[in-house]
Amino acid sequence: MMHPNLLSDYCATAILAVNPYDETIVAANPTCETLLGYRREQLIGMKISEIEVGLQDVFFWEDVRNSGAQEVSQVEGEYRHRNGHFIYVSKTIRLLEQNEQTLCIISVHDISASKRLEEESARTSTLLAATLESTADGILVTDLDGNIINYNHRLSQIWPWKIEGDQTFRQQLTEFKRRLDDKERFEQWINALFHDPYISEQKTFHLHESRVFEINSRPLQYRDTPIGRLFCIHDISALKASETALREARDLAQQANQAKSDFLAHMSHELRTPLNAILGFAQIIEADENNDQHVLGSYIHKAGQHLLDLINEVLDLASIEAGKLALRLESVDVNACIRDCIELMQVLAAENQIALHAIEPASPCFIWADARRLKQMILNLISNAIKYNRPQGSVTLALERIPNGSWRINVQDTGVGISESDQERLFTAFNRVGTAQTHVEGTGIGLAFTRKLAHLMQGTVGMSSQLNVGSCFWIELPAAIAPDIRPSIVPITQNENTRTILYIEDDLLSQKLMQNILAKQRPNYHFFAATNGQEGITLAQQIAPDLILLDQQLPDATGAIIFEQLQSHERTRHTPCIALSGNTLPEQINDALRQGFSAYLSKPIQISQALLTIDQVISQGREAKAE
Amino acid sequence: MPQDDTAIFISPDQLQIGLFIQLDLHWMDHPFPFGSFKLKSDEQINTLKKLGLKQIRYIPEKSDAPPRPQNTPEQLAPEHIAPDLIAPTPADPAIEAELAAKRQRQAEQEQRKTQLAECAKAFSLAAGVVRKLNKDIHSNPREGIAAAEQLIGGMLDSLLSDNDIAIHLMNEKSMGDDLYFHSLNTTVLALLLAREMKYDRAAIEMLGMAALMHDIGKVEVPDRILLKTEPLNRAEKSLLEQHCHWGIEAGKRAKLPPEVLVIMAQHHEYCDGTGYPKQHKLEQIHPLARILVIANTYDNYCNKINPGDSLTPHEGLAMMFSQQKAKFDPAPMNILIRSLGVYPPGTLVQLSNEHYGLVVAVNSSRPLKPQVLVHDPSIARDDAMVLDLERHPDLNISKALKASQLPRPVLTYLNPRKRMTYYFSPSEPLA
Repeated sequence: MMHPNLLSDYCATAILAVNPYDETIVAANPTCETLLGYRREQLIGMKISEIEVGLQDVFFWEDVRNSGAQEVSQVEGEYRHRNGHFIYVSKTIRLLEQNEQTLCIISVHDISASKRLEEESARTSTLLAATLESTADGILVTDLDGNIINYNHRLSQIWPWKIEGDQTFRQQLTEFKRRLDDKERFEQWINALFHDPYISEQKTFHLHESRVFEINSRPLQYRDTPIGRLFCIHDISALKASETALREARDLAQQANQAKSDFLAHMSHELRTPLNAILGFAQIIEADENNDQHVLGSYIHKAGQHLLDLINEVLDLASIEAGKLALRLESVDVNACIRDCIELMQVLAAENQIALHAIEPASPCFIWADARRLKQMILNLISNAIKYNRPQGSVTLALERIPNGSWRINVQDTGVGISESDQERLFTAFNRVGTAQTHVEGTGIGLAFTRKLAHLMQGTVGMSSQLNVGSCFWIELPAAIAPDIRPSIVPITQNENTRTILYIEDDLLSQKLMQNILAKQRPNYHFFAATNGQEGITLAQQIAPDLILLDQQLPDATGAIIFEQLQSHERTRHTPCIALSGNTLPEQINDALRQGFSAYLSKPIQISQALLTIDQVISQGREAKAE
Repeated sequence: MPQDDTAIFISPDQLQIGLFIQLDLHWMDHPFPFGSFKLKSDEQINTLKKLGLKQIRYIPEKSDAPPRPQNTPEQLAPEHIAPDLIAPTPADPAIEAELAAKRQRQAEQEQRKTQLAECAKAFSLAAGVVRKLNKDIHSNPREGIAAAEQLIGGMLDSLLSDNDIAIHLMNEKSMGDDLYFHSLNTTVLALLLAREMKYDRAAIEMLGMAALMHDIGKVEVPDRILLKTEPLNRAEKSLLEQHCHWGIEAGKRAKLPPEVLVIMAQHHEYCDGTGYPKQHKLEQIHPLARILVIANTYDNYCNKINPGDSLTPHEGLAMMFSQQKAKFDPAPMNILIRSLGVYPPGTLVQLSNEHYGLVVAVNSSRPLKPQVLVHDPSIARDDAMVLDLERHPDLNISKALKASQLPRPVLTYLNPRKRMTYYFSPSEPLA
């Protein structure tokens, strides 16, 4: 049998026996010497209050004095070492009844080290908590069974969260699941996550009221072993909402754009068709030298032409803004272009008593541009320079090579000049500057359109002005090399033989105009007319014309459909067709030519141009037949 | 507690010491502090038997001993237990008395909540006065002082007329007003200590004014020093210490009585001569200033700029009591501990049965045995139980904890205050 004292002698826990009545130490085991620095003989007889100095220790002994000895478990306290320093301890007190006397047996161990660790971990967790709270995402940590270990405040804001009672994740999910659009997918996912602790996944879930959560779940690992799960809940409702709004706005914009294009095509046709008649008959009247009214015809023609120009300007600008303007970029001889423009504008210049001339460079120069549009731009600038000039003024065109390799076309006038504040608004559509000059006609579109065209051709438009001296407007366009010499146009063989022409057109005035032109200019052509597609096809079968003129917007079908039907009939399969339309959008023209039309005439037709085309097509058709 | 442990039902005959049992009863329907616990005495077994339960759930994993063999060896599986079989029929007077005490404590907790709401109003008014006082001390000192006198007068009226004063922890909302809260906190604690030490009204009024004004000189100290969370260097420290001097200057301009100025000047003097600015010793420090020093030091420990650095109320008291004993006058120090308890209200604690709790009330005759609101997830937070440790000799507080040491769900349940801001209200005595 082992001696009972041996146990306490060899125990690593310090053990003190205290008499609760006089609070003196009556026994101590050897470990007390290491813990407290006193020898056992010194300890015995000492007051316990000399060793136990912590707040709760002092009050414990006071409590013993007042209410009798009592047992306590695992209480933290402070002991004072012989050298004066403080030791954090954890102690348990058990009561021992011996010889009718109660003794308090105190087992003490030093927890200074773990206290320090505790302090450190408290600091770390404070830092962690501050970090957790500073994120905009909801964060939740559970153990492997789904019991909640930690979460941040944000979570309870974005999640339908019940803090009380239910402490497991699954219990907390009831309310969340009620709001989910796809409960099953979510449930399967959660089951999978808690089934396989290694899964790391992110999924997006839609809730009612168009809320969207992006939930990321990762294993919580300790020493490579999963010990729980981390959920990071990101509320992307706002993001999704703005995404949807953007998409809707985009669709709306696309719809609006489409509507704009349709409107353009429609307007183009509707506006040009009546002008066709006005201009056409005016030309006929004008050409009839024997008629007294022929001067009046020339007035109608001129005014109608002006109206057509205005319509063209408006439609051109609109088609640029709708992104519908297609350019045919090629190498263009600038000098030739300027010469043409000056020729065209001489009449206007003379009317306004303005001297218009160009300084031509020695060698030809080429730029990369759409020839037709370039002419339009130059004409616009010249027309402005004439209109806003002073009497007996001059307009001078000059070409200049600028350092970046482009060519600059300068149009210098001798007008009153433009103030700086007006210059800023100059290139904005419908902004006509200079209130004093309201008498000059114009839409205010010209410069805006010119600038947009220049941009489309990789060029710029600009100006400089000196008040009372004049303004210089310029166009810069990239230089190009000289183009290949084009093959010469096949000479037209004027045909004296009788030919049959069928014109399918619902606008009676247009019909009459064409009939009139042909009767006067080409008496050898027999003219037939049909007012809709079906009638036209039938008529074509009967008369087998040499040429069909086909309006593109007939009441019963489009020109394309009629053309297809004509192609399917034996008698009309090889009959050449010319398309006529008020629609001048390049894609429309290209579509028609690709489909097999021999030519495309835009309304209002220019009589000379129309006759030339008709002659050409008829003679080619003859050749094709001859082959 | 945890529901997921394997549970087996036994009959009351099979109970014996060492079994860990779990009662399927509402907390108010049984006399035990906890619904699940390890049996430690025959007394507990007797009480359990008196409850009239047919079956009791026990958890083998947590038990030290197996149940006694049953007279009839057949054990009932849980699903065979109809709920009405476990309906309690307590009739024993001892059990009834314990249940009544439980109800009483719950009622007291409700009463505390009501008092707290009223007290919060008074506190917020007082905080407003202090804020204004700090702002106007230079522009309008006379008016500021008059408002301060009125505030202290009002506090003393309720302090000195009522015998019983309840100290409440305030849940202040506005942050960034720490300086003002500190002044108010220090004043409240100083007034309480002076009252307990039976000073006359005139003396307490002087102390109150000095306490309210003691840090007024900090207005001159740059925020980068006042709000610095790292330790101050020597230059910063000496600049900070100037606030005592600047405070006196401001006090003189405001024509404060000379004795108040003396108390203010000494609010950083320690009895062992380690304080500042004059390194006075005990006898040289004005007796009222000794009270102010204690109140000021305590609040400084408990409410640091960075809440993570703050000591718990218990840590603050323990540090001042044991390690810095020589710095403070023992008489007011002792009274501070008597008033606040060893574990002051608001302290988070761990009990010897490893449950967490929050001290809600102290008993000045048994400072180690406060009333504790206990975390028990099986009870809804609004009905959380309050244990009076005095009635449970087998339970003791093992240690005080910092908020960050508690698991998050427990913290949410106990919901301690971030800062320890005290106010008082005249109260009906709490049993």
